[in-house]
Amino acid sequence: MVEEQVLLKKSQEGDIAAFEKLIEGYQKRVFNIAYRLVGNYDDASELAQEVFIKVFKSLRKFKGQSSFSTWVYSITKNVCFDELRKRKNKKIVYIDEDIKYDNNEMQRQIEDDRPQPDIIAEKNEVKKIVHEAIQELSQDHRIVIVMRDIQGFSYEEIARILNCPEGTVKSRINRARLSLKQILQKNEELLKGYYVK
Amino acid sequence: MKECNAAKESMSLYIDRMLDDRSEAELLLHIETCETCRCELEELKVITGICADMKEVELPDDFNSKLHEKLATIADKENTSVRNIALRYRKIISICSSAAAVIIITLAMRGFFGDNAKFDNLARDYAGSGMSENGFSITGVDDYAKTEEGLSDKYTGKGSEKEVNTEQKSIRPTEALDSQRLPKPQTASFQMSFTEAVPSNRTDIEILVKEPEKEFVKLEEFAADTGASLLQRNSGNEGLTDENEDWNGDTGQALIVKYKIVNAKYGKFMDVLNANFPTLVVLKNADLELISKRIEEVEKSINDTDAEINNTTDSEKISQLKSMKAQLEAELEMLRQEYEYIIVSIELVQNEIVEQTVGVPGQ
Repeated sequence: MVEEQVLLKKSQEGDIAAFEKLIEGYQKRVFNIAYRLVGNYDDASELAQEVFIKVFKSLRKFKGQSSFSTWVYSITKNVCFDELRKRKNKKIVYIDEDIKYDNNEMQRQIEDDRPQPDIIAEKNEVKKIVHEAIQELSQDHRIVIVMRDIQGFSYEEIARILNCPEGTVKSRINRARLSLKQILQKNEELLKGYYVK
Repeated sequence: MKECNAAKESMSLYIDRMLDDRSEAELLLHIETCETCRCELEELKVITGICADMKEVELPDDFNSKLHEKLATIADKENTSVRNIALRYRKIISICSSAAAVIIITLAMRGFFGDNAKFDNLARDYAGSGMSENGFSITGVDDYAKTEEGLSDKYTGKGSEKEVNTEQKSIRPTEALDSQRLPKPQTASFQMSFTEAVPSNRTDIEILVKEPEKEFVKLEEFAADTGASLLQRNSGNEGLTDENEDWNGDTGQALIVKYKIVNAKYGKFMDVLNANFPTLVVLKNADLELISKRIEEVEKSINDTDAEINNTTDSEKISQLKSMKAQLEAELEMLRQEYEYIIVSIELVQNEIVEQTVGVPGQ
């Protein structure tokens, strides 16, 4: 923690090396939160970069009223929510996304030679289904599922990051899980078999 | 049904082991007898289990290198901005030292050419200075807009002079007159053009253009159509080196473009320019000083607001304070961004003779 304070001070003075060291421990988590919130690997990468740029630019404003980690994750949430808001009125189609024709799905015939760790990571069909179902949740529900169930933040931490009372977080997590279950209803059998396999 | 609702409410907390003993016992008792709730709880457990099992996705290989590049660019820009501001201050000081001589020459020119009516109009228009709440002052340049003729309206899309609201759209030139209402030269190019014994009133203005890459072509076309000549175009900070021995020679992000325009067209030029470049801000050296000061003020206000938020329990007041803080942060962002712009300097001369005698150096 002392080291974090030292790095923070140096970063506030514009020391890039210190800043990079300071955010080392946050990069992967920020990236993963963004990935689960926006659902796409490349976008998540861009957003995570945007988060750290914002953090760097705003460092002088950070007065330590919350912990540095809470502040970073709050910015992550804000950046991702901004992106989701922008997307609201436009349909984004990824070239590796399936095209839906009536009720039948057809794989796009475009070869994508980028490394696709998102697909590698979601080889498991069930996890892929859940990942997609999370994208159908409202922003408020999505963030608590990502933070609590995927990232394992405590209720208290989530309350601080979202800047709302812990009671709100409790009820929101409950409702979010019920919504997610509702979305996954059509894959009920597949889900039940998940732990049996 | 009531029990089912209560059970549903507590399922999440049960899964997260955050239910108190009594509530947990009640839930377990209920699901023993209610198959629907039992299934629901099982399904929730499976879903949260799947989520918890999701692998962390690895960062892209080039994540750190890309981020480093962006950070370095930002740091460079900040350094350049600070340096440029310092350079500007030094520039003002160096010019002030020769100001007395310049004023004497200017007075002589006024007497010789006798164009005092126009000069006084200029003085009157420029005399009101000071910053608005946002840090920029806006002043009408009616006299110029009214006397200007023959400029194409294609940039404004407006059919007549009357439709151009100069009161709102015109921006005060950077060179306010001093207390004696005389033009106050501030750039090195001033002395070069002054050797031609013509201009009785002239001024240099600096226009900072946001997103210059998008606006520059439009600006070039516009300048050509309005008769402005390109005097100088420098990449980096090379245009500033001669005047500042202390400068270490680093090139920054600044692009300096200098135009010359006949004074009579100034009002319309500014008017149309402003109408076509909505992100354009005209600053003078003193403005930069005021911006720095304003940044400090806003930063302090943000800190004070934060402190007040922490010491207040009234939720309505907190909400008001947060909204105020958001406005301050937006202003701060804007003020800081100003430093990233590219400088377009426009030199005003009184008539065509100067254009011919001074000539137009190549790029």
